[in-house]
Parts: sequence; C-alpha cells; structure tokens
Amino acid sequence: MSTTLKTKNAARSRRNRRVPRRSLTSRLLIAATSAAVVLLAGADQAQAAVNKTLCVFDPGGASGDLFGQMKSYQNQATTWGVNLDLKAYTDESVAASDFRNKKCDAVLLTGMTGKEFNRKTYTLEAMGLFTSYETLKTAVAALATPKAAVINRSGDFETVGIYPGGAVYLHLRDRKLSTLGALSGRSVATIAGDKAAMTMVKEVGATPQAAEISNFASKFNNGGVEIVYSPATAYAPLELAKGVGSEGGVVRFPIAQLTFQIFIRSEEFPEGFGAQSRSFVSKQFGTMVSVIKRAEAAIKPWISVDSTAAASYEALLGRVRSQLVGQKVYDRDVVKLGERISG
Amino acid sequence: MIPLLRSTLPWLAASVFVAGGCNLGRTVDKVTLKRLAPGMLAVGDVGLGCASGGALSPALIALGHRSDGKKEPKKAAALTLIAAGMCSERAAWEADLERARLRYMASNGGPPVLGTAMEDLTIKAQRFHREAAARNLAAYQRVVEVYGAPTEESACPSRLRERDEVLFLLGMTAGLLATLHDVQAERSVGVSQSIPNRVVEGAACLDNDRWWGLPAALESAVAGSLSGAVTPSVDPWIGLRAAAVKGEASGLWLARALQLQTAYSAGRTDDMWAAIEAHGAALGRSAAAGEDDAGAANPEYALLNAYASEMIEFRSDVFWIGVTGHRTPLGQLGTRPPEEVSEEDVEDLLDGLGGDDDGQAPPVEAPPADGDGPAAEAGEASSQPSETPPGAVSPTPTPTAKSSAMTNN
Repeated sequence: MSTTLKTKNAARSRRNRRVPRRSLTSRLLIAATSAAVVLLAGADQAQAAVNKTLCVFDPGGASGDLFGQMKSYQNQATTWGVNLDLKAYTDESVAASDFRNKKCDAVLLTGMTGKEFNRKTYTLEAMGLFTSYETLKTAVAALATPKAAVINRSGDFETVGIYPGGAVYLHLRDRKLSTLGALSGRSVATIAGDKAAMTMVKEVGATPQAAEISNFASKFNNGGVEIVYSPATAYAPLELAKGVGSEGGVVRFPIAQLTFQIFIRSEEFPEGFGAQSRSFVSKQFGTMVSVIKRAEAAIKPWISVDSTAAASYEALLGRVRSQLVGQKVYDRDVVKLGERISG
Repeated sequence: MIPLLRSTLPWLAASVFVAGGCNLGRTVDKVTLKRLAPGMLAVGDVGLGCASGGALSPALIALGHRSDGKKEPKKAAALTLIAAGMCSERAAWEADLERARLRYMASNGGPPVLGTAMEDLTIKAQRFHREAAARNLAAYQRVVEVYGAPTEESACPSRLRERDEVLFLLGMTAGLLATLHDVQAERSVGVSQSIPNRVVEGAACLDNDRWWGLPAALESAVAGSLSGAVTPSVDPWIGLRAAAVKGEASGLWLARALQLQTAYSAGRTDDMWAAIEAHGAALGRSAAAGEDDAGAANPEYALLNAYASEMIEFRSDVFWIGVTGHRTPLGQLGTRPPEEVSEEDVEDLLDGLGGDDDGQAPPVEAPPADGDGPAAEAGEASSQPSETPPGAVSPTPTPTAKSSAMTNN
C-alpha cells in the first residue's frame, strides 16, 4: 500500500469514527489543564527532594542537647526539600573523618575540629574575640546574610549553620592563679590540636600538658594538671567541681567561644540550601544560649574579674590573636568583623 | 487498672484509718513495700502499671500536703511516680514514632510540608519527655531523701533491707531516666547534670549479681553515653554486654534495654542490633521455658520486664519505620526489616533466561464441547492472569543480610 493510500484511509477512518467536536471552552480547558500538568511536573522536578546524611558530633551522642537541636534542623530541612538522616557520634574525630571520606554528606562539629573545612568560620572561636553571647549572636547573624557567602564558602566546603557551644572559662585548682602573672610555670591541660590554646599557654609562660576531651577532666580532678579550660556545660557532667574543690574556682572571663558548625559540600546540595540553613540556624541561637546559661548559673565558685584584670586578659588574648592571624590559623577578615562588633 | 485500684484503694484507706495519729507516711510506706509493691511489680502490663501509678501518685503526695511533705509516704510515692513516668515515656515514644513515619514518607516522595508536621510532633514528644523527666526526677529525689544517698557526701545508704534495695535500685534508674528525658525536652525541667554520676555511685552500693546486672549496667550506661563523665571499671561496651547477659540469665531484661539505649546514644548501630536480636532470642527462650527453667522471665518483676521489652520494641520500631514505613510486626521483635532488593543486585541473574520463546504461554488444546474433564480445567486456568510472568525467575532471590542503613532519627 502506498503512503498516499495509507494517509487517505486513515483520514477516512477518523471521519467514520464520528468523534464529537469539542466546544472551544472545553478545548481551552483541556489545554490549560495540560499546561498546568506540565508546569507542575516541571516544578516537581525542580523541587524533587534529596536524601542526605548528617553526622552529628555531640558529647552526649543521640541523647545530647545538640542532637536534640538537630531534630528541629532535620524537620526544617525537609521543608527545603532535603531529607536528612541523622547519625550520632560521641567521638568527634571519627565524625570529621567520616565526612572527609564522604560517608556523611554533612557534619556538625566544633569550630576547632571543623577548621579543616572552613578556617574562616572557625575564627569565631578566636581567643578573646567575643566576650559576650550578644556579640557572638550579632556575628552569627551577620554571617547568615547573603553578603557573607564568601566567608561561608571554603573550596568545596560550606558552613551552613553556627550554634553557640558556650563561653570557655579557665578552671583553677587554686584560686590564687586567677591573675595572669600567677600562671607562669603552672600546668594547663591543652587539648591535642588546639594550636590557639597552645599559643596562649606559652604566651603566659605556663606549661602545656597534652590532654584529650575524654581525659582532661580526670587529669584536673586528680591533680595531674592545675588548670583546664572548658565551657560551663561540662562542669556538672564531668564533675569539674571535684578538681576545683574548696580552694579553686572558675574565672569569670570568657577566653573564647566554643561553637558547633554544620559543614556541607556545596555542590551536593540544592542551590540555596546553605542560605536557608544559615538563616534558620542563626534564629536558634537563643535556644542553645538558654541551656548554656542554665549551666553557668549552676556553677558556684566563680571568681570575679575586675576591670583591671579584664583589661590584662583582653590585652593578652589580643596579642595571641595577632600571632595566630599572622600564622594563618585565624582569618583576618573574621577577626576584623569580630573586633568591629565587639568595639 | 480497675481491679488493681479496687484492691489498692481500700487497702490505702485502711492504712490511713489504722495509722490514725501515728506517722501516717511511714505506715503507708511499710505496707506499700510489703504488700503493694510486690503485687504491682508482678503485673506484667505497662499500661496497667503506669495508669495505677498516675492515679495513686497524687493521693500519696496529698498525704504530705499539710506537713510540707514530712508525712508523705515517700517510698510509696516514689514507686508510683516511677510507674507514672512510664505513661509519659510511652506517649513520647508514640509521638517519636509518628514523626519517624512522616520522615519515611518525606524520604519517599512526600511533600516538603511534612517537615512542618514533623516539627509539631517533635514538640509534642518534647512535652511528654518533659513530663517523664519531671516524674522520674520526683521519684529519684524521694529515694535520695528517704535513704540519705547518693549525695556528694555519702554514696551508699547506711542500711538497706532487701525490699528497700529494689526501690533504691529503681530510684537510681529513675535518676538516669530523668536526665535522659530532660535532655530530650531541651532541659526544661532542669535536672541536675551531676545526677548520672550520683546514680553510678549509688548503684555500686548494690550487689550486681543479686540485682540482675543492673548496677553494672547503670555504670556502663553513663560511661558509654557521656565520654569522660566517669572512669568506668571496665570498658562500657563490654560491661553492658556482660550485664545484659547476666540479666537475661536471671530473667530480667532491664540491663539489655539499657545496653540498647546507650548504644543508641553513642550511635553504635551494630550494638543496637545485637541488643535487639538478643532480646528477641531471650523472648523466645522465655516463651519456651518452664517457670523455673533458666532463661524464663522472672514473674515477680513482670512489670519491669514488660517495660524493658517496650523500650526495646520502641527502638526496633524506629528502625522498621525507617525502612518499611511501619513499626515492627507482631512476633518479629528481634528481626531486622527486610531490605529492598535493588534491580542492580538481581538483574545479572536474569542473563540468558527467557530468550527461547516469545513470552507466550504454551498452546492449550481446545476444550471438549461439554466442558468437562482435565482439558476444561486447563482452559480455565489459561484464562487467569499468571502470577509469575513467563521467563521470570521465581521466587525472588532473598537479599544477603546487609547492615541496614539505620540512623538515630
């Protein structure tokens, strides 16, 4: 059969079927519906949810405060089209290693451990840069603005949220050590890899004693070291009161701010995820601070610092910061930002 | 609950009447530990136990209302508050499971708005965690007050009779539970963070063999879930396993539940599965054993076993929902959810199969006119859709056991 004949037969066949002619309205309706379906399908594709794993370091694991916060984060991420599986880690180095080795798509770490992924946001933990939660909150809010994208990006990595972890205070077995001059020659537990603490210890002429997160408290409580630095949230669970005893105390001057930061590999997340995430996390600042403040209120042996002593602490920590900026441990721009905020 | 209340309330009323002007609280406590507690603990129904705890707690606390708590029967109140805490815990678990189900839906093509519903359920769960923390804390505080320990000054009570030992041990468990629930409730109750350390010291005052490995399990649980908090006498994971085995050998499953809870906190998926599977095996052994056989559940503490089993079932449910969207089916506690078989895993098995024909069923002879006989059956059969398409491999190969991608959601 020739092609012409086939076409004629087909045309005859269509006529013979007597398909009723649709009205203009119904044809328009069908066209509109089809267009809507196509548009919706397109939107669906654009917003197709992705499944990712978020590895969470929390000293209390899945039963810790931060992990609890991460459940709210997980809920929010779902509304942004990213379904997160949460994995708890009580060993921070394992969490960092799993992220490095792509076993996790995102990770929550302390700023210090996370500095290998973003040195700029780690700088929020710089010695003496923020001596109040209000100033730190302002910095976190500033970093959540679109203008700060360049600070949050670091190569393949991106910081997509910063939580406060608590101000770090010096804990002393002997309260006579509360002045800087008295620290010379005294032993300070220094967490492995904490170059900033090491610099500060050397600057005041004290003796660093290598320690880990898992044993610094027992070293302090057993008298193996005379001084430790720690946020207040560790005071009760790690029983630092035993080391402080009746003769020691906690110096009420925040030498630094601990932070917890979420890192991702930008390319693996939908566009705009980082900005949404930073905006949400910056609004959670107050929730974490209230937990921290409750822990601070439970500490009894505070040692007050008068304005003269505070000035000498600030001067010391300023010198330490400058050294660490020079060594490229801290980021110059973030230090500048902090100094602008703190005045 | 009603039968228990029927038997309990007249007794309480009688106690109040008999005690008269004497120290009412002490009398109620004495009779509670002697009569009520053994009876309550032997009822292996968490719903009944927690409901009676919720009903009796206010009445017992009320007895001390006009004496600043001095005349309150604190031992009895501690016991009922612990039972009442189980109700709150159950409700929190239920909210957590509902959230897990929505999360499953979101991860399987559900709309993003599910995230908002998940947040609502997170808050709902937090409220029940707060209630559970408050009830367990109230129980723990009463136990510490009655026995004078554990405190910073004194780890052990000066003297404990055997029936007091049970309450003291349950009080220590309540202290740990109060801490765990408070963290889940954003520390809204304000449970002291030093309590876990006190609990470890208090539990060490008890004979580990006599009390089903639970004292050692408490120590290892604190050490395992909070690095640096205590210096454990053994590796916490070895300690937890040993305690759980000891508990099962003596017919009590609480140490196993603690092992699972600690493994969850530390994100140790393999240990979690090991605990769930071991509990499934213990349930099987117990069902098969006679009352006095090794492995049989201890009938005197049936409530504690039922509670431990529910705690384990909750964790199992979270995993099941994560993989299948539904909780652990009945009778399958201790088994893992089936993994989906990916096409990549099985498509190689089909190579070279089904290539000899065109996929049509073999021709069937025409049935005889009257429709009787085997040929007619064959004809009917050929009109039914085939369950197994021609050329397909049946049954579907079972996937090899894989570690499920379980997380702590």
